[in-house]
Amino acid sequence: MKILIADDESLARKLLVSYLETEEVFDVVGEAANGLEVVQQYEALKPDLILLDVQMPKLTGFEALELIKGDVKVIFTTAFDQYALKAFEVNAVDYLQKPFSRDRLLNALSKGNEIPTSKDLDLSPEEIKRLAVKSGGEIQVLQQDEVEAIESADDYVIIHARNKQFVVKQTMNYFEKGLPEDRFYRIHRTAIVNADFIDKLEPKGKETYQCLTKNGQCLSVSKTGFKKLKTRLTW
Amino acid sequence: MKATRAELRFLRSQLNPHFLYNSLNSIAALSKFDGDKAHDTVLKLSDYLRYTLKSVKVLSIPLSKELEANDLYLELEQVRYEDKLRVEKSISFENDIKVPSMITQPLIENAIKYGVEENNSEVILKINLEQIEEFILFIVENNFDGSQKHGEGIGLSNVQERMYLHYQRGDLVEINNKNGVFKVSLKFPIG
Repeated sequence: MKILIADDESLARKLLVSYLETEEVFDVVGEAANGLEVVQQYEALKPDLILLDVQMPKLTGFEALELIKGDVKVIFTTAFDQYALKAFEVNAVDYLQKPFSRDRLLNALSKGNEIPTSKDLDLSPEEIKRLAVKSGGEIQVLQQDEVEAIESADDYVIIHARNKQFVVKQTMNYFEKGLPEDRFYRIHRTAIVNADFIDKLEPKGKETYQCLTKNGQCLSVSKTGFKKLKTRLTW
Repeated sequence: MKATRAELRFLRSQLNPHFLYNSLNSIAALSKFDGDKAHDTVLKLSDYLRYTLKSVKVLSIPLSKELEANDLYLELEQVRYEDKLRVEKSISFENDIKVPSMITQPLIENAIKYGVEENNSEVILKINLEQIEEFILFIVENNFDGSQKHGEGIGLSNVQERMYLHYQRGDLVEINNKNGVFKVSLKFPIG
């Protein structure tokens, strides 16, 4: 089994390596010191399992996991206890609280052979504060307030931010639930808009409107979407 | 009543389990690779915890003791973060006044939380203490990755609250966030 170790503290990584070095079945193929490296190393090495710290620079363990679209098992390793529930929600094999023993790790890894991979995880965060997107080969981290609008496109959504468009494999409902509703409005089945970026609303059809953003995006507004905007925003 | 709540919140924040467990994890690792350093780190952690537990029992403490505790805390964080964390200190004062206990540590903790934990590259933590007229000025500065949000944290609002409760004035804490440098200043009145 190929294992990737992800932790921002090098001593913590070194300890995990030492726990596994005598085990022939578990092969540590790489180490990552932040969330971006987790994604990069995952793609380069295709490990079967990631020992994943939650609090890391650039991207947290959960955020990194969202960018990984392959089959991978995950064991979370963290000093916090408050992520246990969320770890369970994303089908983690196990959740180890630091410091933990070698036996505890081996026990978790043996479970890893029986538990399904994290594919098709339902990651629904309480609030999406930042968002990792891929553009070309690069990963960019968008802050919540940079997101201007989100439009649906079949199985994907298009995020408008920084005068660019980023395609993400997610659902509109995911963003509607995860973004604060006093700022982000679901104005149409196919569109969510950040109120800070609204330039104007124009009538389009008989009872429909279109919303123009400050950066020139034109979004559809449904009848209920218009009502939502009208009651919530004071123009 | 308000004072009691602030004190309780403070106690909870001081016994920061995240810091404690990560330090213990470092020690678990060191005990395998570097016995002497593991030994040294256990002793430092013990001293630091002793100071922390004591600090919740007393309202104020000599500034020199505060600075010793800060050094312990920084040395423990240095074990975790190694060369990612660089500390530059400049300390000079004549009057060893009494200050609210554990009032300076949250500034350092905050700088590490938002500076070091969110950064990939080296973070420089500047700690400055000097006497200016009738005040002793304590300043903590850190650079941070501009793309990250820098929250002010529960730690700092608790510091503001406790400074106000202790000195009965609201102009002793200053927070600045400019050009990727986060800076917090505390002014301790002398006498």
